[in-house]
Amino acid sequence: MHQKRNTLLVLVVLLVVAIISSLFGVGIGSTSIAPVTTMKVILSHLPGFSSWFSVSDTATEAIVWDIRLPRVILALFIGSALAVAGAALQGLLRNPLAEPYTIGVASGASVGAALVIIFVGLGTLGAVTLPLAAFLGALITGILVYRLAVVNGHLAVETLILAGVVMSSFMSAILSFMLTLAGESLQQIVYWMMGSLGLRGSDQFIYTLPLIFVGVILLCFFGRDLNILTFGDETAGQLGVSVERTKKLVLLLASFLTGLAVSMAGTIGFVGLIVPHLIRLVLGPDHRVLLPVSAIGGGIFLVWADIIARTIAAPVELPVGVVTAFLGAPFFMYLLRTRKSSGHF
Amino acid sequence: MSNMVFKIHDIECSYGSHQVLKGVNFEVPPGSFLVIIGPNAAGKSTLLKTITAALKPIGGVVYFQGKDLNEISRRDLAKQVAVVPQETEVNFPFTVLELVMMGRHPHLGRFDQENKQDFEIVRQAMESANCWHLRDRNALELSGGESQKVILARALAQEPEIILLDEPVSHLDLSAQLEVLNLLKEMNSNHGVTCIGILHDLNLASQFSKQLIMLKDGKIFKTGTPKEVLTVENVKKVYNTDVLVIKHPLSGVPQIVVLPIASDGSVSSSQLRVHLICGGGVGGALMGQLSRLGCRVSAGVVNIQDTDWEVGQALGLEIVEEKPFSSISTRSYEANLQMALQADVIFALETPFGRGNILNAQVLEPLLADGKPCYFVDAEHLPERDYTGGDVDRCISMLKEQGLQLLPDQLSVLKEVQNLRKEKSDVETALG
Repeated sequence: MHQKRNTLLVLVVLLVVAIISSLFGVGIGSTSIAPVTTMKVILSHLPGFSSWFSVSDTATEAIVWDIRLPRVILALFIGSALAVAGAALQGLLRNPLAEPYTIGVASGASVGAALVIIFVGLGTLGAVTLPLAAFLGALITGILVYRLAVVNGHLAVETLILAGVVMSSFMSAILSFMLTLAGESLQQIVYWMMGSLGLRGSDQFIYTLPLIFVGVILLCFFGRDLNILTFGDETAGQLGVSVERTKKLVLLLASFLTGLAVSMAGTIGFVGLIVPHLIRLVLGPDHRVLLPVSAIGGGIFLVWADIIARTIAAPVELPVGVVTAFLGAPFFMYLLRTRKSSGHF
Repeated sequence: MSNMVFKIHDIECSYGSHQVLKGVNFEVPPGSFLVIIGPNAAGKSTLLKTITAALKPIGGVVYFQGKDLNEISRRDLAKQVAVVPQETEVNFPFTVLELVMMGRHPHLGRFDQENKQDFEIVRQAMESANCWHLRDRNALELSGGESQKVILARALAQEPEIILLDEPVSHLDLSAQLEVLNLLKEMNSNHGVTCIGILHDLNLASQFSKQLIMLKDGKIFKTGTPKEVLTVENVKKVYNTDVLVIKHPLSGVPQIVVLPIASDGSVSSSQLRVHLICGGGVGGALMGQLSRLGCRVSAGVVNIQDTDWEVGQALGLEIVEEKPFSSISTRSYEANLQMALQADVIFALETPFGRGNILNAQVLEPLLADGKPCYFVDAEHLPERDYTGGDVDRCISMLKEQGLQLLPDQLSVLKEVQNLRKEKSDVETALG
């Protein structure tokens, strides 16, 4: 009971941090925009407020509303999706090294994306088809991995990890083959794979964000089941969890979220690995806390990673995946060193 | 039938081509404390797994309250049946309180949060299992005993009507074993919780169970009360081990005593016949060891209900007996003499002597006269256990001159017997 209130408090604080981070995300860039201005622009676009707030400078308005705000919102949602999927998979696979890409969907998505970049190009048609192809690639890989890991109607966790690794290698082989034949498109494919939040068509944006939102919320309701599943399938069954159904649903939701995220922004690494660990370190392993807090924390992390990616080598923009890995890897090493002594990994 | 908690009907199980359970049938009425025993690979764990619904049998049905177990949802089952495994893997640093709270899972809907009542149930469960003080500890850092108490508390938090236990105390020390088993016994007798479990320790099984199921090679060898199941013959047949079965001094339930000296393997074609003159509980251990060495052991005169008499009965020895607390009658004396005359060697053990059994000392005289080798154990301390005013002591001193040999203790009896066996088989080899 006491704990419930604490969780709520943490969530509220993090939401405030997320909003402030977003204002910074919109404000920082080649043209600095004050948070107040940003607020005004956002409010002027909300129905009912437009008459109250009018922004005279149309250029600023365009930068905020058309360029930077969608990008920040995308960062929030992608970070959210990856972190929640990572937290859920770490629990489901009982493996602290699991992340959204462990089950192989990312490499499948890359193959889909590479196909579009090579054969369609990044024109108008490409912008529409690329996320779709990437999502399809993720979906097909996810289904294959699942089918590989199910024996006699029983999803074995160890087999699932192995199947994921094997499918990843297989898809990477296809990808390497395509890269050698890609010619001029090579650079674009590599850039896409490193992950970036530069938008690829705002049409998908409208459909994808609600899907991510729903997926994250649904996954958060599996907290208690995931807690119990960490004690093994047999124990979980004896405590009343419908083990196979729960594993299937969690895996489906995590793959779905990962597929959506990758299709929009490429394979941004480390968010799904680091964020859940950081939160587990501070708030404990209870998935009912871990999942929602990871959702918000992942968003905040990616917003800041994107700010760094855009500004650190300006006017050149780094792929955000480079920044997350650059921040994430040393942090992870630090965690490994400090946590090894207390045996929590 | 439906008032039975479980009805196990003709269960068969296989791992690959290896059939582990070959048609097991039994019923469990409510309020039972049923313990499954049997040697390794007898199918105990497999049987329990079919009852916990973790394993589907290839043949037969497990009925839970009249319904096929596999048609009951895990949640409904978990509301009534809790399982305590041998060990629990903990992969994440949950606190003990969080871990026990998971026992409330079957009673909560997907969108429910634990309320005050759940918390209260958990607290009571943890206090019963004596682990409330561990509530804030990291579950990864518990000792074996602590961890098993915590798991037991989680099982109690499910508020089950039935607790299933798969070797719940195998990894625990003696006091932790008793703590866990006493709690289960208390739940069973005071709250009517049905307990079904596997125990490796036959003596604990005997003390805590109301009913035993003895498994052998995937089949039920024997079911019944501990007294009915734990007999020398059954243990010999199922575990292929010679043991003594004695009564627990307080509860009277059978207790298994293992015999320390293993047979030296050189079983001679002819048995050495050994007669022990004993009584007062001094002969039991030696009876077992001599039997194990392959000797044909007899004893006399022993009062019925004497510990020596009980052990002798348990081992199936020939015994000349006398009514409880009665003096040795002339008839018993004669019978004892006749039986001793059949033996190759006679040992009189460290029995205390009084007027009632003075004949057990005097019988040595005609035996020596007949030329039988006779040994008297621990003559040095005889005055301290001679309650005849020195008559037995004088008798023994006199018999020494007629060839009675002295031995300091029972270990030297064993050595003497080994020598005699060797001599006997050597003689036979020479003759044969």
